[in-house]
Amino acid sequence: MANKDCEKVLDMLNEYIDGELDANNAALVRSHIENCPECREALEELKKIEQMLDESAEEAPEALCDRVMERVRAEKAASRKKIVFMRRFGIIAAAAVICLTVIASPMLIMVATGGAKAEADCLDAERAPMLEDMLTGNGAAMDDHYSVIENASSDNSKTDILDAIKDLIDNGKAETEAATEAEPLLVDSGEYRAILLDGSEVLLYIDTDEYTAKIGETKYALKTDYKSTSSGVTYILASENELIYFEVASHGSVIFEQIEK
Amino acid sequence: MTNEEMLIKKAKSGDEQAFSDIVRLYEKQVYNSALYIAKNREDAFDISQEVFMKLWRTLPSFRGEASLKTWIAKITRTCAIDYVKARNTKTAFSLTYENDEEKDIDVIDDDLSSNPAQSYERKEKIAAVRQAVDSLPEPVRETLILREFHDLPYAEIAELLGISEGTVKSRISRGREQIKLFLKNGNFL
Repeated sequence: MANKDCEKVLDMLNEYIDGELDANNAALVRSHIENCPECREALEELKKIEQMLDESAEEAPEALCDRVMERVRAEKAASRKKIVFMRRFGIIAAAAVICLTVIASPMLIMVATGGAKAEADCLDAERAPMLEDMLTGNGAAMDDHYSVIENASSDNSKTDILDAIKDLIDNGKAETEAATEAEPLLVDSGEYRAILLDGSEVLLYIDTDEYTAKIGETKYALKTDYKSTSSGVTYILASENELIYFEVASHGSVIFEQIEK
Repeated sequence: MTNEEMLIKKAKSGDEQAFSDIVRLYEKQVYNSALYIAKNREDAFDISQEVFMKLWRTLPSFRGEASLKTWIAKITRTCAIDYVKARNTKTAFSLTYENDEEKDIDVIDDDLSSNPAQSYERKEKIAAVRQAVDSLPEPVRETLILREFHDLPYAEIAELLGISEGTVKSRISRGREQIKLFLKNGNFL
């Protein structure tokens, strides 16, 4: 066998064992090593090195996957809490925008100008900017307020905001709905519910113990009846501008995810 | 749709079981790659955790343009380099110098079928292979790890490292040649 052939084949051996050669070159190497003991030996050595490298790898510690999954669950729980919380207030803010727009309440002026204490009893100086941030879509500020809201559950901050919206609904002409038990309920998170209109269209409502308010006029198309996963069921609703996911976990909690298209 | 594509899709939608399956599929290569870079089991364990947590967080943005194994290899490389950098900085500022790298990582022989003599021989061989890999110049070692432990094709290694496929080929060839010489000198080959 000519030396030049050997040189060529030896140069391709690494690519050969790594499966990087095209069919023609791979066939060339195969046929050459059948007839060339030196190149065959070189190939065997390479394979042995590969095997030794393979054997040098140890199994990952048994605890690794468990530890990762523990952290994943913790992170998921934390982000679920935050998403649900932020979405909940996002919807409340959306409801507030609708209500405020409809009845042009003095509260709108109050919120817009930040004159919280002077104009209304239901919002104090701390909460007015928070609602203002929500109305103006200041997400970062909402994040800042998140811990305030979260930590203030005992002082009824959330209730105050809901009350503020309720006042607007009660005193004005905001769209409210009577109890919707009779309507086909697609999903109910306790805070918001999706009502199936005619088998494919869905309306979203914010829901409290005392009232149910329609969130805008957008009718969402139910893209899939449901998507069942091991962790629960996901409903996908689509409008022109957004996609909404309702994920109902098997243990009953609901995640509401709103994504702009 | 392949089984892996199915797992990715499920994991992206938050399915923990699917993500756990992905971790199981890739934990060995991530851990060993981290072990070769950090040269310390405890650090390799921490790095591996960070790799999978980063994967969990970034999976929603994974569009499948590169393969999952390339994505994971990339995260592993970044995490390991950052971790070792942070460790070295910490060590440099430490008054009492502690070398966090185990000089020679004890070989764990998990082959229970081997007798003591075989077990000893096997351990020696593995230790020699590790020393051989450690002795490689950093660029060669890094390229070879991506090939051997992450099983990446040359083109993906080239893209990940920002080098040409020809360079990948020559580094792999050089790395294996040096390992061969190292092992031959120690009568392991």
